[in-house]
Amino acid sequence: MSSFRSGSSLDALGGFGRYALTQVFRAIVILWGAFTVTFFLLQMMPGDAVMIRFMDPELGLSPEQIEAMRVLYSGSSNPLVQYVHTIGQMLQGNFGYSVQLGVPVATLIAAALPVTLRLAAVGFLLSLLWTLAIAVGASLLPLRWLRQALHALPGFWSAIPLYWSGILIIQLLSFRLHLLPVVGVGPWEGVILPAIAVSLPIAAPQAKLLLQQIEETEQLPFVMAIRTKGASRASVFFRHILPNSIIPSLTMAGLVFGELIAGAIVTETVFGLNGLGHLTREAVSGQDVAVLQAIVMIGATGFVVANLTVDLLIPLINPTLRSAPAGRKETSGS
Amino acid sequence: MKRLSFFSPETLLSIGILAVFMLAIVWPSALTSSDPVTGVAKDHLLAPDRTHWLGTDQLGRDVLARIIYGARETLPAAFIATLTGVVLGALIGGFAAMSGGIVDASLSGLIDVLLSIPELLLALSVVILTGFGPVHAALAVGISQTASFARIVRNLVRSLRAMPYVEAAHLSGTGFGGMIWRHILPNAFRPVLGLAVLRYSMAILSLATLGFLGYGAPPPTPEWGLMISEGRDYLATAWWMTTFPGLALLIVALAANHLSHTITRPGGTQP
Repeated sequence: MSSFRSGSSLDALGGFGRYALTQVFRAIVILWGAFTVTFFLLQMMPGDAVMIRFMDPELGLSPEQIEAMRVLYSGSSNPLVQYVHTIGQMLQGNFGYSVQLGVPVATLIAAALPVTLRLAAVGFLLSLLWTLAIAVGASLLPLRWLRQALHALPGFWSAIPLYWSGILIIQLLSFRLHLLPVVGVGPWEGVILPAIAVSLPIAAPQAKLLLQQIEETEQLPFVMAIRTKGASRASVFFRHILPNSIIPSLTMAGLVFGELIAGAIVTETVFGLNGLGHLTREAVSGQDVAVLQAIVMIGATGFVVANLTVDLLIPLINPTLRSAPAGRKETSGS
Repeated sequence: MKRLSFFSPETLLSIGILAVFMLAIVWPSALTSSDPVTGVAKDHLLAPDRTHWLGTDQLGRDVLARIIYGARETLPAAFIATLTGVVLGALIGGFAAMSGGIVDASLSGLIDVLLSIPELLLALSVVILTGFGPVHAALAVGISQTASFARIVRNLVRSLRAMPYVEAAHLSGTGFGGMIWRHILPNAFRPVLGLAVLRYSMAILSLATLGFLGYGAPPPTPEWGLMISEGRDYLATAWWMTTFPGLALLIVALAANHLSHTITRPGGTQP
């Protein structure tokens, strides 16, 4: 910390090193904040989950036993003591116990995570594919009305409810065309249909931003200069316009990750997958605070890590930003 | 082209669509004579035809009637949600921007933290806290939208405050309240309204998501998300049960989206 103040060792790292350290520090502070906010939000629960479960008269527990259970699950009834205790346990990889099922939260998460990660990874790759396909199509397709239709597509997609598109996909591909079965398939095949459903709303904002950026880049003088030299439409697009337009879409990574998590929760319900989304639903229905908090922290961590990665990559990709990394673009709102 | 944008055919169509849904909210029986809650058992799972334009569900209830009465569930709730988000967001963001210094820094930090939590997870955290039900779901969606409103209001007010004419007003002795009332509010109104309408369309989708997951209104209610969820068991036989409520959601969301763009676009209202 002292070197942080004097800056001597940081100066040796150069401008980028200092920038990177600041971003990492910022990410850690945000994660700590997210933990604190959700902890106190969820601790305010009116019906203490432990009480709900163990005060069931059929169990016939005495008040002393209930208090003992409460101490076992959450350490203490004083929120501040619990807060410090929970944060210490979390740093050691212990996420507490599920009140509903009586198993460690870490075990539940470890069992559910692979499905959701597969879904998210395939969904993300597909969304990149859609985004590029829309951008290429909207710029290079021969027919004007087709290009305009592709331009309007992202705005249309973003208004489609996710679970609904999932259901339509099942109806179309499984029941009408019999292309892919919905049940009884391997771990990767089973993820294809839900990944298509997840990828559409993720691709929409990315494609919208990329199209906007392409439009701006097309107006730049250097593009005009290359065109007048006789380069073909496609070569100008792939070699000059696309590479110069793609960076702003990268800054949406954090937002995209949030969509992926939300998408997983809903899509797993539609397709009957047992991932984090399924766990989330069970946690909310059973008022299982420890499980929900762990899932919220996974969501926040993914968001923060995605943003951090982009913040660290952008100065490396675009040298003009290296000297003065003024901070990332705002991705919230529209 | 730009000049006519406010009364372009698309905008008129969007206003028309929203007007029809408004009518469905205030006077649903003007649009349908069928009962949305009790059905005719022998008419269950009928495909769309001349008497039941959008078919019937597993209890013989008219799908069109349920969609019409469903507008009353989702659309006002989404309004409450967005209103909650706008009011809380404007208070927090406006307070941060007008205070500056450490208050601004700490509130901005809090906003950053809230933005790092995916909105659906934040909404579910509120739902787990307050319990299930339509009002709780609306509050949850509103609270999950607050941070993004607060961020945008804060940035907007800060940039307005730095405008020369606002500084001039401040230097010529206009009080704090006067500054907000005469200079900040009128200029912040339109961008915030545009954002609010956009957020309204997102609130409709979020509320239907909570309804679909079963955290909104309980079963006999004709809520669109719940209707889609109920129709899931009849996918192979009755496609109309899931398709049409989803189309209703899509149409309202698109209309609100388009209106938001018209409001936000520079020169939208100037003829």
